Amino acid sequence: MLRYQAGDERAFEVLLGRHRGPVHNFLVRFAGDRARAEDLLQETWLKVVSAAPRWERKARFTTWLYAIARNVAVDEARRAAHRKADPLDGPADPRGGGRSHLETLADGGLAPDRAAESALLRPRLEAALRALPDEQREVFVLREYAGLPFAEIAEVTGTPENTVKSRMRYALEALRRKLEELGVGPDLAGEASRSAQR
Amino acid sequence: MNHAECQDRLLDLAYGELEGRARAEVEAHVATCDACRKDLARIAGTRALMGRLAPEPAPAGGEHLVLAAAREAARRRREERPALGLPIWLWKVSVATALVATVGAVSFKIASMREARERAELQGVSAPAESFSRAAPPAAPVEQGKLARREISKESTPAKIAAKAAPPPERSVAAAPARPERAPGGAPPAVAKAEKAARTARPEARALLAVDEERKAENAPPGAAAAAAPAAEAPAAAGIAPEPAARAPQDVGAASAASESVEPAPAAPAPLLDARTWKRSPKVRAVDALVREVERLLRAGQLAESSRPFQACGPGEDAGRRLYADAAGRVVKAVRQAGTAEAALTWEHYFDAGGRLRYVFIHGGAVNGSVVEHRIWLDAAGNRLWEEQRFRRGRYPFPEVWPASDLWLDAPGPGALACGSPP
Repeated sequence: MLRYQAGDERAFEVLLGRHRGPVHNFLVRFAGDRARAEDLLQETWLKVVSAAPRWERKARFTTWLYAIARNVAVDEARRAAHRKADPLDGPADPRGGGRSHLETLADGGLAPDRAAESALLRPRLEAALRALPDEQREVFVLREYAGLPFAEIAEVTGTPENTVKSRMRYALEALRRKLEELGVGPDLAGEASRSAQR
Repeated sequence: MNHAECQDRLLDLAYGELEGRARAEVEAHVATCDACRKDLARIAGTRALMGRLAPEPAPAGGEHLVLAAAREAARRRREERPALGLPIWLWKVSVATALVATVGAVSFKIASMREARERAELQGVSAPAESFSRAAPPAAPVEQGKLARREISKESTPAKIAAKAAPPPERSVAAAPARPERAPGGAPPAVAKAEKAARTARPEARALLAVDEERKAENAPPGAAAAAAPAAEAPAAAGIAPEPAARAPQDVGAASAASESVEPAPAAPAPLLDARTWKRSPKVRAVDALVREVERLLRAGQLAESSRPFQACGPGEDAGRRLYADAAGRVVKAVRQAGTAEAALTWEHYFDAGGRLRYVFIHGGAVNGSVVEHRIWLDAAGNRLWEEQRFRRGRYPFPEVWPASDLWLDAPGPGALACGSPP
């Protein structure tokens, strides 16, 4: 980042190549919507470009980067809250044959022989994640998928580390219950994994 | 470690954020505590399930816009960032300094032109209007104004002035022919050159010198100047002592870049100019005239400019340099700009026909907002006739006696525009 601050364009390309995927992953998990995540990803990096002169060495780049991404996602979520949300029983992904989200989840989703993992497991895991409150989901995603230590998550979210850990505990417990509720357990995960390997 | 403490650390253990002794203590408790073991297993199980979510690949494309924005921002930063990594605002201070200096110089010039007109009317000499010169030292015009007032005063009370007014510490170029006794032994050649200089001097300079000469002729008895000069040029008490000038109080015959300068005769150490009289010193005035002449040539487009692009060759190097050469190819003015993390300065050097440094105007600013103007007058031998430092705003510990290593003591050649060249 220091090199980019000094005008080295190539340094930014390296940063983008290294972090674009993980940040996109975080945004998809946090926003729960791939199309929105794409927009958020672009917005995040444009903010990185414009804020680059203000970055200081005392902050870790990843912490700073995820703070920007998180703020972009939170702002967008607030704006979205004012828009009409799709009802849970409304049409889901067109690939689901026009069935509702509930139907997709209740009947086990798409046939196992069509991409076992996505059909059996992925939608349920995503649904469980979406069901988390925002403040728990962001902590879980940052720790589990972005790999940030709790102390850095505290910096990114601007909350005390103990609060971060507390939210993490609640998130893990809520996920466990939700996955049980959706019929996802070690057996299903194992079956999906085996199907995916076939 | 008790159960409650272990519960607090289970997350850290599950995510590998415990090390060493802390990790060993938690693991030891978990090994003996069913509840903690179950909690840890639940965490691990949930993580294992959620870990089945495959990473979302970043969408192909889309990064082009970001990269384009990043390149554009980097390019802007490179363009906006001054050489040597100085902050932009510091250079803005420099520009502001230049503007302030310009306004000040214009004001001085307008005042001096008005005074010159009045004096010309009194003396019956038509003083040509002279346009503004930014780098010309303000001291000379002010002094000229004072001189005109003194002349009026003398005319009204000649007896009083004759008794009170000290003879000028040094004689002007035009005074030399009338005062050969001031430079015994070396007078005839000096007189001849001075006469030539007076002939070749610009009209305004001749007018000024004529006034000076007339004043001396009226008020100073023959020989008085020679006797009075050492007293008048007492050591400076201004805090910035000029370098000891190992020169006799002899006239310097350089009234312009086109005129010849007279080398000082190696004699007894000359007295230093003092704060009260330095402005009236013909040596200083000769330098001022030289500077004005260079600026006049510059404004008339008669100097060829060559410059190095405004970019640093490397760390610690100047940010920019400009050389101005006359028709004969002699560099008569050289400008360098440089900065550090704390200050940005511009040096404007003026050289006589022999390529010797005669005047330096250093100006710029510092991070604390101070704006400095530093001037050095030098004689043909390189001795500092006078040196003064003024802060237009604030104060910063710039050297009161500017180190010679920062200056071009001789007119630089084209090589000065190459990277890695001193000063």
